[in-house]
Amino acid sequence: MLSVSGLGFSYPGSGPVLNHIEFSLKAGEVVSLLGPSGCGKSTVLRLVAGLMTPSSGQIVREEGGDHIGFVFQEAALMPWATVADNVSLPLSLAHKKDAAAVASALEAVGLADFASRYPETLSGGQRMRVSLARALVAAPTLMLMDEPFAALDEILRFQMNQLLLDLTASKGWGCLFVTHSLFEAAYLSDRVLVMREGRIAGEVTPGLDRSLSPTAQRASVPFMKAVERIGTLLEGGA
Amino acid sequence: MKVKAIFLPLLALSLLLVGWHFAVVWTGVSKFVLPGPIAVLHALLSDWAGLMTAALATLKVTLMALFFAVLSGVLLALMFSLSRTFEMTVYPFAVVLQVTPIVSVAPLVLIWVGIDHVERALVIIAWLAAFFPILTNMSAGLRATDRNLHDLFRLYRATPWQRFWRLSWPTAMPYLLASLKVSGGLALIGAVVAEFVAGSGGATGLAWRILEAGNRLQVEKMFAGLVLLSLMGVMIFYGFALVEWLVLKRRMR
Repeated sequence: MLSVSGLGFSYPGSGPVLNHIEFSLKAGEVVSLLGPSGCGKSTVLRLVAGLMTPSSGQIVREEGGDHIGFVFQEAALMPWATVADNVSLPLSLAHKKDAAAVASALEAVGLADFASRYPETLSGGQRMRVSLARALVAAPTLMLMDEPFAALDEILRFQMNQLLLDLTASKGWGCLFVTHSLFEAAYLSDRVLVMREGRIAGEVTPGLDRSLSPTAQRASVPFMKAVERIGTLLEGGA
Repeated sequence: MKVKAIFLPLLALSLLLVGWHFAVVWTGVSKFVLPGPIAVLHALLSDWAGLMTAALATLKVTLMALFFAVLSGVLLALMFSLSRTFEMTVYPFAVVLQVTPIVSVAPLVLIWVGIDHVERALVIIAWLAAFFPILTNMSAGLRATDRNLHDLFRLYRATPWQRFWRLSWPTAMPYLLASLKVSGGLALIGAVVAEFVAGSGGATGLAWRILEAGNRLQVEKMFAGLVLLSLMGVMIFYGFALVEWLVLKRRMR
């Protein structure tokens, strides 16, 4: 559903930020981009979203894959609008009204009773859920997430990870997930693309047994091996 | 807390008035230097109708100046947000308007505009005083849009009008409301300065009444005028504070 080939990007008058990035993403799959700060992972996400123009290479989205959901590190909500109005933003900008879709998006993130509240009155985790509901209200086929849970505490982060896996399974979208947490990447992803200095240094396939409980998955050998492999790639090993 | 916030200033004011009264009685200071609060109250009540007419004239100039300051400040800030080149060209002139002492510009404005229409000149002078904070705050507000929200609006293909009306304008609103509290007071100061400079040239406001009372050594009347001006300033400030609270409070629900 998404195919990226030979992708390069550089700002005018400076060296390349990204060099020959290649990967693909299938429906129902979570692919993580992981790397140290400044390695270009967020730039990949913005290029895929069409918020920036690549200097070279191609980004091909599947026909009908026009609906993109984007979740940022901050919840990025409009403080002057209710939760429901925030969630319906993608619809209302397209002059559409769909109260049922808004209600079902809020239901999916467990905030059905918060529709008339204002963002200031919500906790950090609740705000991030609203942000997620806003991304999924337009029924995206491609979900782009830029370190969405980085600002949350560990317990909340585990819950949100689980929510994302459940939603990916039920909605069937392809999810490109940027993170700098080895453990989050190893747990969430079908594949982890480890980035270093604007390049993809290697790919890790955790292959966790999803029939196990979340805790058991995180204590399993494949999980540990994936974390170790990601760590090795980050340190510059092959 | 709220009771304290009202009660404490009132208590301080009462103590000040009592202290003032006894200081005047005990020191026997001349009423031409410092009249007591009772004399001031008497002056206020005995010329109530005249002072109120003057106060309304000053208030009218203040509010008209503020209205034009909001209109021009917001429009110019919008143009700044649309074109950086326009901003770079025009902004220094706005700064010049702000930093030039208003007392020195007022006589010129009175000569240019005030000979036939003194009220117009007063409004222009008060506008000069009030305009700049609205321009700078509104400009800052329009630039303060959340970068991620801005990207999201682009991602969902928002039109320029949607970006302005649904993102930039609500972002800038708290900045505009805050600037109104500042500019309201500045417009009043501008109106008073303008009346002082206009002198007897047709001005009918409170400042003119203070000037007139001073010339006649009616110091208690000068104080009465001052009291009304202060009250007006306080009302304008808290009036806009109330508007700000009413507009922004729903965001906290």
